[in-house]
Amino acid sequence: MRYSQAVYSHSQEVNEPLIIELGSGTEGVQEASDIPERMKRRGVPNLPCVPEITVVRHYTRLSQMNFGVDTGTYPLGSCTMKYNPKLNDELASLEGFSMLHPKQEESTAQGALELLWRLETFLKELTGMDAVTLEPAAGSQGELTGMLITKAYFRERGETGRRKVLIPDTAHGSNFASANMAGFEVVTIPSRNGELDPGIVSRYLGTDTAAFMITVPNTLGIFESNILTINRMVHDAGALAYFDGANMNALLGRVKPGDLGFDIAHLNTHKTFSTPHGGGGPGAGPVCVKKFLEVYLPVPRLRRKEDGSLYWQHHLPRSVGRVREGYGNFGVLLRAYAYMRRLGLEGLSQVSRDAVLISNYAAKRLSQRYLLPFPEKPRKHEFVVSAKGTGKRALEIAKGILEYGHAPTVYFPQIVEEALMVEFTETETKREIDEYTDALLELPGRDLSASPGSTSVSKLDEAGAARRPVLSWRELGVGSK
Amino acid sequence: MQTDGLEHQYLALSKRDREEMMAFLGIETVDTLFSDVPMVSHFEDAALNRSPAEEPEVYREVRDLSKRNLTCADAPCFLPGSPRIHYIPAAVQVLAGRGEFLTSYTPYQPEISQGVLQALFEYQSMVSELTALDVVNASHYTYGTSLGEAALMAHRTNSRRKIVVCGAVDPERLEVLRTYASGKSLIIKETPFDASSGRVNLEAALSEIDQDTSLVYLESPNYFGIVDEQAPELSQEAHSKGALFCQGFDLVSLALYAPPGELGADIAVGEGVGYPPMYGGPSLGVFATRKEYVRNIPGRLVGMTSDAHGKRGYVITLQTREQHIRREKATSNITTNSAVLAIACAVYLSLLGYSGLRRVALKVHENALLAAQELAKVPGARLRLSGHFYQDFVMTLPYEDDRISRSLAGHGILGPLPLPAFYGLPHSWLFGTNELMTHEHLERLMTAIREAGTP
Repeated sequence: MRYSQAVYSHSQEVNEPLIIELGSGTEGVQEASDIPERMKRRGVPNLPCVPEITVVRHYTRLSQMNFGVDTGTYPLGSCTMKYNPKLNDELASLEGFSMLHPKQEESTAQGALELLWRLETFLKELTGMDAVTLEPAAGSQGELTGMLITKAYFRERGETGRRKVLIPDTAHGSNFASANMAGFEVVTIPSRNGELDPGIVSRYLGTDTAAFMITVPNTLGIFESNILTINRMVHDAGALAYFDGANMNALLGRVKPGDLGFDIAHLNTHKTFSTPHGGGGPGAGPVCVKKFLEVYLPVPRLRRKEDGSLYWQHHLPRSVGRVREGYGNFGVLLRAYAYMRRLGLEGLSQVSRDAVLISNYAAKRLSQRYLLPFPEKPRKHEFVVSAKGTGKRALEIAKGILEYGHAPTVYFPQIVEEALMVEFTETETKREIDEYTDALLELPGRDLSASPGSTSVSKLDEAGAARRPVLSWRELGVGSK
Repeated sequence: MQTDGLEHQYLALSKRDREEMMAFLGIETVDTLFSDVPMVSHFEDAALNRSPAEEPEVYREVRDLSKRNLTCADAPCFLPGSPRIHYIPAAVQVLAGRGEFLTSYTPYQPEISQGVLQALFEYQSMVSELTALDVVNASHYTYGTSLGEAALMAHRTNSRRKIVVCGAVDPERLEVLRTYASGKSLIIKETPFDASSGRVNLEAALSEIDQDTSLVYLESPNYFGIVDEQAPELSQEAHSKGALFCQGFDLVSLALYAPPGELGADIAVGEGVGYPPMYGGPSLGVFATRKEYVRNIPGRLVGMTSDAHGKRGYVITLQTREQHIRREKATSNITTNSAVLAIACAVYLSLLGYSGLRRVALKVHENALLAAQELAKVPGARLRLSGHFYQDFVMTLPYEDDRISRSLAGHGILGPLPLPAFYGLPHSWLFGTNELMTHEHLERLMTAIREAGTP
């Protein structure tokens, strides 16, 4: 199982040229007579001028120089790169959805609102929460929303001294950044033996704590076994417990964050609910809360009238406000809905069981050669191994494995040296998992100095790119003006 | 207890695979692997169906829901503002929707992800050309969140707290700005528009810009559709007081109008083109700035570099600004963005080129002029504002708002929208047009409006 990218080489230096290098200029432009001189565009922007076939070949070739879940195994830790069902894309392309305008009267969009309503019901059930907003455009926007809710809640209670948000050292970077954006001070909590320790946590909790943001299972793929105690302590300190749902794939249909004592939970539809990552986005980051926080959810809120029709409520004085225009990433949310409908509760709980089974299976196989920290603890949907002691660095392994498929996440979480963070998901076959782990087991014994050798380019100079940033073709002087 | 016997197209393990894996792990049941989870929750059947549903069933159910909507593909659409409706050439979705792009993650392993990286570099380049600004990031969620990030960036740059919002700004966008500003307790000062032209009341705006001002924001075209030529005066005043100037723009209109970079903008925000409205999301928030601010910019940037053999390649660069490295000191919390829409935008702009984009913009503008002209023929109707408009315009109509609304709905027309009372322009309607407006659409609109005046 080796992977070689299809590459057109234009020259020794360039694979596929920039589109602007394939043709630029203009075909002659019409004048707009009524535009006042002062407002007119004078300079001609340097845009491509090529026939349609050139555009089609160009972007087809670029796509062939790219790796996706459709191409092969993509085991990035905490990213949940599962199969993105084609049915979902087909449904999102239905004109009855794709050509809906958010400023339409609600009466002309009842089908869309009904779908969102049902999705809200699903998410409340899966998280054990009382209310949900589908507005946030991504997980990190969900985090920001959750933090703003926290802020609004304490402001109303007059507890403005609660300035601190506690975050474990295993957390994703976005948690820290989101808390900061909401105006909180961030305190990092050290973990012990790969988990949060109630004794350590208690030293940080106080009257200045606003919230504890916790990812469960954590990024080592370990369930926080003291979570009930910790959430009780958080509440005893008068603070809120925030659940980062990045790793919800491990808990689907088994345990609800609400039952674990969390007050706020965000989900990532592009992780847990199979919506495509799109090379970085879009996603959606619904936020679910317990009843006492519902009034702070962003506007607009979806409501049902007595006659059964649905509408948007825009004016809610205690809300944190609007986090984006429109009504959430509808095109993403409808994919998540279709996914949940296809699986049902039974299917969703099998998702988490399979994801966890695969993860433990692969972790045990890899522990033959790599160090698996805290081997006595079962993993959930993902695991982290260390390349330390294999004779190779994690980065070398990552570049080497690109010849077999995609690399795991490397050097994260930072508490494990030379970390390789692996998450296969339930949509990988046993054959592919075996082949991929076999490759990882072989790699430390191979010469990786020229890796990756079968991708469209060899190892790239990232340091040079940051030292002298070239961020557009303007800076290259290519194409004709 | 679950038997792990379920077979489903979305689950890649067979019952036998599961048994083999359990045997390898020396466990009897998968439940053993959850022994550290202190509870099993109870799930209600009523909320979510228990059993899986077959593909045809889900397809039919969701398609039936789609049929309950009236779309702007079928109905004449005069809705103003964002998202803009434009025709999307067939090749855009085919190319941007290719699985290799759509199902990939953020290109943190650049060697295997050159396709997304080069496409995003091309997006950055084309938007840089259109805005006449050096640096464009690899996208935000929406126009409004780009604006929110602009406010936070200005605050990082000059540590000041006051944001001066000039004239008529889209109210939804303004709400988003307020939310983003609230985290850092930034203060928003709105300045009035000129009620006769629809432009910024320049005197009022200039007097609000002071030594505490962090950012001055102007939208052009603004909420009323007016292209405001006073950007240079505002940017000059902002700069003289040490503030940044940000312009909200319409990407397609930049084929006709002077770009933000030439009007003195330090930051420009807007929305992309090349993807369907999709009930407002996903959308593509465009963010452009000058190179001097590059280390303060939020979001991802793609840069050009070379590989070990001197071959050209692309990477995500200046990552030390980003959350996964800098954590709470990052320039933004953004990670997931709108990358695949940025790719669609690059494909759209490549297909049209400058000439094609200009043709679209001219047609949009021509249709706006035509619709305004026709509407002005209704006795008592008049163009409310004297400023130059591009795509949207405000008309005062001589009939009761309710009657007009009912008549428009009765004729299956989407938009226009009555201006909220807050603006102090009674009986005024905000119309939007696009290049897809036909004579039939316009006739239907005219019939609906005339009927509103018939007792």
